[in-house]
Amino acid sequence: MKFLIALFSVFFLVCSCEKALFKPDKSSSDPLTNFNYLWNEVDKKYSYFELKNIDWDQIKIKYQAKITQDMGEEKLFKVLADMLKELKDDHTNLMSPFDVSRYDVALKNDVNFRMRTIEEFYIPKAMYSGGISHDFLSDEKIGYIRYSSFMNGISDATLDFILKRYKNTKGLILDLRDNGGGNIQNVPLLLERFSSQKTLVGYFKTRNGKNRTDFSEKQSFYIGSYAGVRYEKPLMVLIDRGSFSATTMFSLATKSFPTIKLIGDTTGGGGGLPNGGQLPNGWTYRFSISQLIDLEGNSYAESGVSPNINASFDWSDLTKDEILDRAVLEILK
Amino acid sequence: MNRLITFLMFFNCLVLSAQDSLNTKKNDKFFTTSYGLMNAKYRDFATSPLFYSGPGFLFNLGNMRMTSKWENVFELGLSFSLVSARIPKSSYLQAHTNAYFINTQFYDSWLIKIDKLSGEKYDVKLGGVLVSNFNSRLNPSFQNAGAGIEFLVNGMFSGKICWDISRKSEKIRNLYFIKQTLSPVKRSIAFQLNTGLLNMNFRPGYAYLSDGAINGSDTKWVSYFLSGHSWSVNGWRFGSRLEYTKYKPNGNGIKWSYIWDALNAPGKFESLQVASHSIQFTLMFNKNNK
Repeated sequence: MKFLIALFSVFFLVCSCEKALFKPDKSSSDPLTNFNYLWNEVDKKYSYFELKNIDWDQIKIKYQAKITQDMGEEKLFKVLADMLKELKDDHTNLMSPFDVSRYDVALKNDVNFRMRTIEEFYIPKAMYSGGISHDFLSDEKIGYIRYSSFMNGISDATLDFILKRYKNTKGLILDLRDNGGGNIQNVPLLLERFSSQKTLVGYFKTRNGKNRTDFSEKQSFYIGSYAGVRYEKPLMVLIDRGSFSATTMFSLATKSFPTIKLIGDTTGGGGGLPNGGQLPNGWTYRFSISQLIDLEGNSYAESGVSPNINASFDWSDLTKDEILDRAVLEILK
Repeated sequence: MNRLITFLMFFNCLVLSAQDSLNTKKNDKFFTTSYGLMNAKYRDFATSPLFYSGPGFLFNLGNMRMTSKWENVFELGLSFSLVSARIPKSSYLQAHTNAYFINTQFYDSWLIKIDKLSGEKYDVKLGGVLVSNFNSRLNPSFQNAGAGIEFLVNGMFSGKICWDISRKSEKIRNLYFIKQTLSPVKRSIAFQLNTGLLNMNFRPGYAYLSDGAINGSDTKWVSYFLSGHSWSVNGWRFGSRLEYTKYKPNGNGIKWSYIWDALNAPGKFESLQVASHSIQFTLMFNKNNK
């Protein structure tokens, strides 16, 4: 019996070693602990310090002075959110149960898209296939496709159906205005339908070290060519400042295809892929950790991809969409 | 690294091939199936400084061979836990984050009886354990970093002490006015302690997101998740098992186990720490009964 008691004692002693083996619990609601944690994480992994000429050390001094031991959670959130806004990056957010911080680049620029105008005056009898609305324009010479978010899944069957429907048109208009991005994997899935061969469209590089200029080697960004139904006639892609993240990546990638033109306003940016993480107080965050680079080695995607043809929406006449009209003109010329 | 993996495979083959030379006349072979409940806990510093913990269930299939000189336990297991972050209490509005923790485990234990340390009532066995895990953690709150995946491989030194608590003869128990006749029964209680000697882990890169997730053009799931990962030889792992085994007259048996496992896998950049406590019930089917 003594032996058994000793056996149980050893077992429970070993199990209780767990707390001693692990580093101490790092959870904390202390404002300064959370401030330092967030500042350090951004410092270690954010990808646009140099390109945007951000003095992150100076920003620490500025905002750390606003941290006090007895500040409430709402005030702490505001200080941390204001610090992140200095990055001028809509891929950077702080998420608490009561608020989400954001930079809102689209609100700092003109709006060039009104869905009501399109639905009422251009495609009143549109079909809705998957997450895509579409219809003919200009006596069935042109197909109009509205893809409102790269969050919407794209199935092969849906794309087959849509592209077959418009196969006899002179050109297609793909409206990506106000498309805030989503799943980056939908970029190649959509663009490979307009690609006749595997094409190098750009590069990515990712933070890989503690120095703010530490980056991985450039990773090639290829768009393949879909083996099934494709559309290789002119494609006009409509963009504006609301076209962000995956839409900016899509827009940059189109520059490698001679049959594709961008029309509208410069995209909202978001060329870096955001990560995700958590503070010691449980709030979550994300920020960009990579850079999208064009074929010439330029990293302008974070501030937006400019169109081949500039056009803007005239808000004095809501029955017309001048950007869409310009795309129609380009196809029919 | 490839040399290490080759060495481990070679070592495993060597141990497997040693089986015949160790075989004795009394050779019990069992097919085992286990079911259990667990409490899992982990912390991945790459995404959060907080511990995530919660209940889960596990299922194992295995094979067990025992002679008077040695024993081998082989298990393939799957566990699933729903875990929550241990977030400090808020006086404003409480944050909650949940995650799924899925773990597949390969466990192979080889132990040899040490006669000099064993007595009439107890056996002391020493040997090694090869344990390998494939973990996946899904935390939607972390968005693009929401999927955490790693491989862990640990070569462990193991010691086990097994106490024979069999009832050798019939016994009558008087419980007030109830008389109960207890038949002879073979049973044992055992304690096994495993200590990691060679600890390897396959953890994400500096950015945590895989290259495949970043350049988007990679739509194959294996490379999508695992590109950017790399092997490291570091960290530690400890484990222990407290087992009560009872055999039926037909040679089959049942086993109740309390299993504790704890590990630290620093990788190249940020540590992953995992611990689990499991209560496991095992049915042992004696293959000699055929």
